Amino acid sequence: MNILSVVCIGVAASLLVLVLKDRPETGVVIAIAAGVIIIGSSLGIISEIFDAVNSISELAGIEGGYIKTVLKASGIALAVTVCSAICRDAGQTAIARVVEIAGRAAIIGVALPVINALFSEIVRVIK
Amino acid sequence: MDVNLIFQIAAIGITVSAINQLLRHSGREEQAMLTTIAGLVVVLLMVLSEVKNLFDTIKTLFGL
Repeated sequence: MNILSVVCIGVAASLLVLVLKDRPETGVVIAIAAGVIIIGSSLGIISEIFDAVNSISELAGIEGGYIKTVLKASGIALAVTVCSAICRDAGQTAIARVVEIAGRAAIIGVALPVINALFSEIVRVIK
Repeated sequence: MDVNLIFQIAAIGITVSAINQLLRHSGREEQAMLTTIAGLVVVLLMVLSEVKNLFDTIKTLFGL
């Protein structure tokens, strides 16, 4: 699905949400459906990008674990951004902020082994 | 399937609000509330399978 159809879907969905002003809950569901469809269609391109990243990292000799951490972190960030945007659409900025905080904690949790490896490396170099 | 999911949801939303107005003007408040809830449940069930597919692909793609 090329970018033009994504744009058309976005505009159509937001117009429909405007039409349904007196039914805000259906408007939020339309926003969720549009988000799901647009991200679902762009996942194909994202998987191609990740294949390229993996092959380049093997070429450059970077250890696979670090790249996997980067992929996990970007996956968490994607899901958290979508969810907090939808919560903000529904008018719940507090819930959106809480989801973002949980997402940051999850990303740091995923990145912990890399951080440990980095610090042990630094300590080894200093000694 | 993907694009007309949005239009189906919008159609259900418009019919529910029309029925709601009809019921409210004819004095049946509680039935208006029931149709609102029923419409919302139908719409949510339609979106649920799409959201599940998306999260499964994200989980496999990003290795979460």
